[in-house]
Amino acid sequence: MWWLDLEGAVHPFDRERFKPMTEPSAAVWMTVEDDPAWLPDEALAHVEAIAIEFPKFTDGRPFSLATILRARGWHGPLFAVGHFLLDQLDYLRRCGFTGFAPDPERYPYETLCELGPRLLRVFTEPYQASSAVPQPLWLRVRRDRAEQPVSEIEV
Amino acid sequence: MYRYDTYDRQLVAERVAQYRDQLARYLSGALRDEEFLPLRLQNGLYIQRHAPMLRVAIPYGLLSADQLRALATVAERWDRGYGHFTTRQNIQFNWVRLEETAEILAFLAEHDLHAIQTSGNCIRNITTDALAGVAADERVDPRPWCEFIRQWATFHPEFAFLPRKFKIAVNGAKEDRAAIRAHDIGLDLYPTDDPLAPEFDVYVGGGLGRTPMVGQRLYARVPAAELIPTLEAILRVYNRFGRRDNKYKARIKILLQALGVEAFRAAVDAERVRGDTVVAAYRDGWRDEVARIAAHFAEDDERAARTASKWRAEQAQPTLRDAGEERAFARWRSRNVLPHRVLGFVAVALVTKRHERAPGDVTAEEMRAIADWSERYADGEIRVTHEQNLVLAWVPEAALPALWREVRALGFGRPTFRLATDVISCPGGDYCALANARSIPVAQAVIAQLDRDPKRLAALGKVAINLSGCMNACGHHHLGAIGVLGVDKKGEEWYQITIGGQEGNDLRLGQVIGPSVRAEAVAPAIERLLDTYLALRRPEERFAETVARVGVEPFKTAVYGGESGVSPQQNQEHDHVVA
Repeated sequence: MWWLDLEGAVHPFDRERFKPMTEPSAAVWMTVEDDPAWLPDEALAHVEAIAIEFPKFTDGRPFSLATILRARGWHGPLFAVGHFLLDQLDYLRRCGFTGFAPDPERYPYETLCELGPRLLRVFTEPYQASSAVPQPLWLRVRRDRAEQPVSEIEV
Repeated sequence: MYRYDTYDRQLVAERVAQYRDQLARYLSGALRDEEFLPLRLQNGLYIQRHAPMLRVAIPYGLLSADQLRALATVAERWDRGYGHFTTRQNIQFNWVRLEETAEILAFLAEHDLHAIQTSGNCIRNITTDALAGVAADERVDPRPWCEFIRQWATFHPEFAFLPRKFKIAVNGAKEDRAAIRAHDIGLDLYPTDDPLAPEFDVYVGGGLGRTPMVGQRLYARVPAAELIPTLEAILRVYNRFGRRDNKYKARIKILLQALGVEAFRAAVDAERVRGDTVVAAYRDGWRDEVARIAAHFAEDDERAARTASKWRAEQAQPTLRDAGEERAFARWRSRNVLPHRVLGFVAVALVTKRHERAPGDVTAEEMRAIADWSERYADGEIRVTHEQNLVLAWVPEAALPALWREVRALGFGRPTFRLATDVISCPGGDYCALANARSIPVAQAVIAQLDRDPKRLAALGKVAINLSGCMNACGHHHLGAIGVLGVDKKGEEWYQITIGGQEGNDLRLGQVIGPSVRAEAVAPAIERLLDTYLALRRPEERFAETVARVGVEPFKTAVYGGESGVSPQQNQEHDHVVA
């Protein structure tokens, strides 16, 4: 199994390192049925890495789980693992995921290397604030008018 | 209307490029059917009975003349010369080719149009009152807030793979014309001392479909600064806990019902108070952003208001030829011309319903004519109403006779806005792959039958007849005074009839009156229901109110027979009284 980092580089993924939330571990495996609240702040502070498993790509719960973990101030490496699409990378990244380990049967090493890097960033200036984008668009850029109104009408 | 800046344009352009790449990978086999499905849906593309259908977004129902012309071009160049305006204020093209869809989206993007999130399990097009900004009974103009919410919802990274679709409606008027309590989230705006910072009543869990429910108020008077944090909290609770095992139980209304409103509110409250830096960012600078957006609408309104004197000075007013024309004009004026908040202006409804075509269908040629009218007689904008009609919102009263002539010549001048022939209908089994039965031929039969007696039609007054070809309720049949739902019985088309539904502040869902009937029996059954209403109603009483007062029994008897049926004599007497 392989994982893609935010720079577009691909590395071997050590799945064995992650343990279910019920076991104390520095690397936590979270399913969509798990609740981040099971990790009190003190325990979370000692967690070095978290992987959230996609049971299928249409199950959007990992996007919210990631958001919640980041909102609690946890800054460690956060992996999306399993049945997601590379077409979801932009949204995953913006929700706070930093590593992406898709199902290797769906995306072999070569496909991940070829497709992954270019799908990481689709929308250069999204409207929203999110875990990886600290401000909404209106705070990030100056939103000038694209055109002035036609005000030449005689009264 | 809101005009795109470079960032809005860049986002739409990036979306087109993304979709073009996805389509190419799908056509090459690199993306599988089930993978491409949600990706294409979030670009408005359904695979339908005959061909793919493309649903183009009309954010909160507002179009410029140029955009309507662009839609006409799409209809001509890539479809069969017409488009279908929907009950959610969008437009659908029923005959596009999959291979050409990226090209169509690229063309639309040149006109600041797109099909983003018009389908799929995501936040859909925001809807509102078609009279937003001009309604005489408006408390707060909802348009800047619709745009503010549209931008927040567009490509929201957390909420693109929800358990099910998610619809938000916004109302700012005394009379709710956006059916906010029939939506996943309904927002009701109230003014404060700061015109840019209204307060919001937040309703959750309304919806039609298989299990129709009226939304419940989750919060009263939420300050504007808390709007996005509140929406995010509601969506997050839904995204985590909404059911994903059964698509018929996946809407937020089912979650709300399962938890109860108190527990649901507690869950949302917990999300709202979370020490969330993301949400905190939304509490900063929003007022300037709303001011930026609101300025677009305010400038348009000022410009539109100045056109009245221009119109009077430059145009000779046509005079009505004779008494017959005067009567026809007066009838149209009383039905299709709507009050306006600014003296000297009116809003004009263009009715798309006629017995020979599908409700909501408009040809490319007609779209161009309507675009021209909007520039000649109004503010160069067109609104799509949820009744599948179009509205010109800034017409100087002095321009009415001239506009009426043109509108009538193209068949949009029937004086029937919101009368019984203004039938609301989904495309049904003629086009839609989800449908159990056809709705267009039934709608046409109903319109044709009601057209036979214009006096009776007028006497009936406002009666909403809504048709849906399946449980998904795109024709909003639960909200019709008379609702018709297509059902499949062993491969045959049957129609279930509900009565007593009503939109507005006193939102009511219709009740089923009995066993479903065959297609040819729908129009006669509706006739009998309307006769019963005419016989039993009190002065000024709406259909749903009569049903609420007397119960469904007399109506049921009128359709299915029985002793308490209403006799034809009673009808005639009543007709005489109200005619």
